[in-house]
Amino acid sequence: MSELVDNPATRRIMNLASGAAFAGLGLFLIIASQQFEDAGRSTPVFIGCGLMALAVLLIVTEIAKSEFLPIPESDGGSGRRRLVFVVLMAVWILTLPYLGFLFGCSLMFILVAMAVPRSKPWTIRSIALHALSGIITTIGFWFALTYLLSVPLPVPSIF
Amino acid sequence: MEFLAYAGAATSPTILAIAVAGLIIGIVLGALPGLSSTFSCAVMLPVSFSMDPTTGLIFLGTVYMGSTYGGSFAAILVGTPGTPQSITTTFDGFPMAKRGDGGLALSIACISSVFGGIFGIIVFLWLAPPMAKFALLFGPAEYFWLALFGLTIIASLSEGNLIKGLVSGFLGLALSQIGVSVVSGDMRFTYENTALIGGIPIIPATIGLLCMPVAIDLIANVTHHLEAPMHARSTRFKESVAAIWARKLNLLRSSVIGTVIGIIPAAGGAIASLVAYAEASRAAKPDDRYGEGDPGGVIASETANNATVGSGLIPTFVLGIPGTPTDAVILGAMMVHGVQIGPRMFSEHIDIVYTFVGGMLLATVLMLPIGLLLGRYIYMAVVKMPKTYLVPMVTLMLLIGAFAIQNSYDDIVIMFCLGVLAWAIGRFGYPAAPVVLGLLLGPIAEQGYAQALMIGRAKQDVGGIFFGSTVSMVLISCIVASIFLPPLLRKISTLQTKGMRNV
Amino acid sequence: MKFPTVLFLSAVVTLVSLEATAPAYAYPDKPVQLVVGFGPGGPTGIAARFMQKRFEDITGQSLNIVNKPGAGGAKAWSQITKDKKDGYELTLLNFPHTVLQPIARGKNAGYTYDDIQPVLYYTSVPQVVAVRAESPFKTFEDLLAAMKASPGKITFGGAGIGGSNHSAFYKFNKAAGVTGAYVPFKDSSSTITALKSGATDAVWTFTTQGVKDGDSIRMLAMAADTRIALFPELRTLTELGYPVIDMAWWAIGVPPGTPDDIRKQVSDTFEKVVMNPEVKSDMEKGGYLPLVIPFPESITYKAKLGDDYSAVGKALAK
Repeated sequence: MSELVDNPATRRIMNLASGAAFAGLGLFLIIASQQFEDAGRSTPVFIGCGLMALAVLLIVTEIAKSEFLPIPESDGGSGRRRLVFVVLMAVWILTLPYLGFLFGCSLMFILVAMAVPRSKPWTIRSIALHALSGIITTIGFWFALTYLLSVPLPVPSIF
Repeated sequence: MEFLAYAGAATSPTILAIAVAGLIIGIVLGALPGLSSTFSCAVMLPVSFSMDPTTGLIFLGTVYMGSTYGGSFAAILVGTPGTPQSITTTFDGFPMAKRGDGGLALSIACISSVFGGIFGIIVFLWLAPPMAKFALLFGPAEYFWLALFGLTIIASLSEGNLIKGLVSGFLGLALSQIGVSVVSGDMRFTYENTALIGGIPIIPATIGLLCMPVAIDLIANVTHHLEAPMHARSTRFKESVAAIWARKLNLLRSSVIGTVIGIIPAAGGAIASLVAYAEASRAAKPDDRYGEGDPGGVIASETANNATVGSGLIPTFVLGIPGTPTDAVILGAMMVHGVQIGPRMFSEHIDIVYTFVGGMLLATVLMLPIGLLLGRYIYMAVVKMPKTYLVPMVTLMLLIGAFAIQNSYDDIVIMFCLGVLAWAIGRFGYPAAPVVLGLLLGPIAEQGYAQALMIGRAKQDVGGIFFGSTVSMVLISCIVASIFLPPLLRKISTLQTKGMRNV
Repeated sequence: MKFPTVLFLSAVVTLVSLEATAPAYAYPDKPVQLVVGFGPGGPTGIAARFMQKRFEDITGQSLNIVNKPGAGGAKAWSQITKDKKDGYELTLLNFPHTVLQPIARGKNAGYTYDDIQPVLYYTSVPQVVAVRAESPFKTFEDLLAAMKASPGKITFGGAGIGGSNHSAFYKFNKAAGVTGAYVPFKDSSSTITALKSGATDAVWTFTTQGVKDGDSIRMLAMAADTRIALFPELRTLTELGYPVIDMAWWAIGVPPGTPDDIRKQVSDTFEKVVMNPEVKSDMEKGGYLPLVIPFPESITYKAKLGDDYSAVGKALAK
C-alpha cells in the first residue's frame, strides 16, 4: 500500500473519487432534508451545499494543479495486519454481548496480541504469558469498573 | 484578609488527604481514554455524599482538575485524548513522544496544567463578580459566531491541505445533524435506529475518530511504539522549565484564553484548548514545528484547559449557570449537599467559597510533584512495554472508554465505525481532527443561528440580533482575521525574504 | 411417618414460610441501576441524586445512576425494552415527555407509550413563567399586557420543541388568547442562561429553577391550581383566571413484562426512600412537590396522563 501514493495517476484517481463521494454526500443531505420543517431543514441543506461546493473545488483543483492535494504516504507497514486488526476488533465487538466482558476481553486480548508483528517468534511460553496478562488486565478493569465506578459491564448471554 | 482565614481551614490533614485522593483519582480517570471530567465527577458524586459539603466540593473540584490534566497522559503517550480537553494535546504531544521526547512533553504538560489551573482559580477568587457579567453577554447570536470562529480554526489546523480539512469539517457538521433537532423537533437521519436517537455521542466519536487510526497503525509495524528516551529516568524538569520560559508569552496568552472561554457558559475546556492551540500556532515563528512536535502546542493546550476549571466556576458560583459541562455536575452536587447556590453564594456562603478555593489552590500546587512522579513511572512503563501487550491493552481501553460513560454497547459500535471511517479518509488525505471539531461545534452553531433567527424575526430586527452586540462584532473580526491573516502574513514574509535577497 | 417424608414436608413448610415471611425489603440484595435520560445537572438528574444520597442507608444497597442524555430523554427511554425484568434495571420516566414524544415523532421516537411502565410516581413540579430580575415586567399583568400590545413579539424560552415547556406555552396562549414567540433550547440550563443574558424576554420553566436561581429570576405565575408553600407569593394561573395546569411528573419505571410482584417490591422500596424525612425535606427545599402514587395506582395515573396530554401532543406535532 505504501507505493500507491507516490504514483500521480493513483493519487489523481483517489482525489477525484473521494471528491465525487463527498459531492454525493452533499447532494444526499440536500435531498434528504426536504422532508424536514423549515427550521430543521436549513442547516443540513447548508452543509450539503458546502460539501458539494468544496468537493467541486477539490475536483477542479485536482484536475488543474495536482500538487495542491497531496496524499500523505503511509508510514509503511503491513496492510494485511491492519485488516486483520480491524476484523479482530469487529469480532471482539460483535461477540461482546454473547461472551460478556470477562470472557470476551480475555479471549480477544490474546488474539489481538498475536496479530502484532514481533521480531521474536511466538513460543508457548510467550503465548501463555500474554494470555495471562490479558486475563489479569481484564479482571482488573472489570473490578475497577464494577465496584469502584459502578459501571455494569456486559455479562455473557450464552451461558 | 478573611480569605486566608477560611483558606487556612483547607490545610487540615483530612481535607488535604481527600484533596490529594481526588487529584490522583482524577488523573487516573482522565488518563483513560473516554472517561471525561464530567463522567469522573458524576461517578465520584456518591462518594462525596459521605463528606461535609465543603470537603465534598473540594473533592469533586480536585477530581475535575486532576482529570483535565490526566487527559494529557493518553494524549502524549498513545496519541489518543484521555478527555475531550486534551484533543489538541495530541497534535504535538504524541509526535514529541514518538521521537523520544515523551518525558519532556509530560513534564511540560504538568507544569502548564498547574500554571493554567492556578491562573484560573486566582481569577475566580479576585475577579468573580465582574467577570460573571461577561458570561451574560453571550446569547444565541454570540454562540453562533463563537462556533463559527471555532470552525475557522480548521483552516489553521490543515496547513497545506485547506480544502480537504474543510471537507472533513463539513463531514463532522453533517454527522452532528443526526438525531433530534433542538430547533425544530425533527428527528433527522436516524432511520429508526435507536442507537442514533441521541445523535452521535461525542466521546465515543472522539475515541473512534482520533484513537482508532492510531491503533490501526500501531499494529502495522514491528518498530517500537515510542522511541526510547536518552536519559531513562529523568523527568527532564529543568529542560521543560527552560522550554516553557522560552515560550512564556504562549503560556500567558493560553492562560488568558482558557480563563476567558471557561467563563462562557457551556463552552468548556475542549474549545478553550482548541482556540489556545490555534492562536499559538498562528503566532508561531518560522522555525516552530506546530503539528510535528512543538512544545508550544502542548503548553497552549494544557494551560488553557486547566484554566477553564477555575474560571468556569465564575458563572457557576455567581450566576448559577454552569461555565463548563462539568460545572453542571458540580452545581448538582451543591444542590444535593444542600448548599444554596446562585447569587447568594458569595454573600451568604463566603466561607465555603474561600475554603473551597484554598483547597483547590493547594491541590493544584501539589499536582506538580504528583503529576511529575506519576508521569515518570507511566512513561517508563509505556516505553518499555512491548507492542504485543500495548496494542491489545489500548484496544481494550478504547472499548471501555466508549462503553463506560453511558453503559451503552451501541456506543462501542459507533466508535468502531467512525474509527474505520477516520482511517479510510485518512488514507485519502483527509484529516480526522476537523471531523471531531465539526461534530462538537455543529450543534452550537446550528442552535445559535436558529434561535437568533427566531428571536430576530419576533422582534423584526434580525440584523440587530446578529450584528448588534460588541461581542458579536469582536467575534466576527476574529473570524475574518483568522481567515485572512495567515495568508496575508505569509505573503508579507515572502516579500520580506525577497527584499532581503535583493539587498 | 418415614424420615424422608418428614424431611420433604419440613422443607416444603420452610419454603412456604420463607415465602410468606419474606421481608418486603429482601429486594434489593444487590446494587440497583437507575437510568436517567438527562444530564447530571438538570432537574431530572438532581431529583435522582437526592434519592441516591440516602438510598444505601435506607435499603443497604447502592443506587447507581447512569446518565444517558439525548433526544430529550428518548435515548434512555428507547432502551427500556432491553432492560432486565428483575427490578434492578430501572429507568426514570418523565411525564408528559413520554406522552408527547411518541405522538410527535411516531416511529422515530424509539419507543411507544406502552413501553412506559411506571411503578411509583414520586414527585411533580409545576411549571412557571418567569422573567429575569432586571426585566421591565414586574407582574404577570405587565407580561400579559405586553403580549396583547405586541402579538408575536414577546419571546419565551423553553427546553425543546414538543416538551413540557412548549406545552405550557401553547396551553396558556390558547387560554388567554395571546400569541408569543417560542424559542427552543437544548435543556433547562441553556434556557435559563439565555434568559439571564437578555436573549429572551421570558421563559417557561419549572419551580425547581426558581429555587436554583433565587433572586436572579422573577417567577410571575405558576401553571397549577393551588399555591405552594415554598413560594407563597407566587400566584397560580387558575386564580388569575386562566385554568392552565401544566406540570412535569417523575416516576420510577420498569421494563414492560416485569412481573407484578417485582413491581410491587420496587414501588415499596422507592416509596420508603422518598418518604424518608431527609430525602423528603431535600426535595421540597429543591422545589419538588411531594406526590406519591405507588403501584398499581401508577398504571391508572399513567393512562390518565396519556389521555390528558394526547390532544396537546397532536396540536404541538403539527
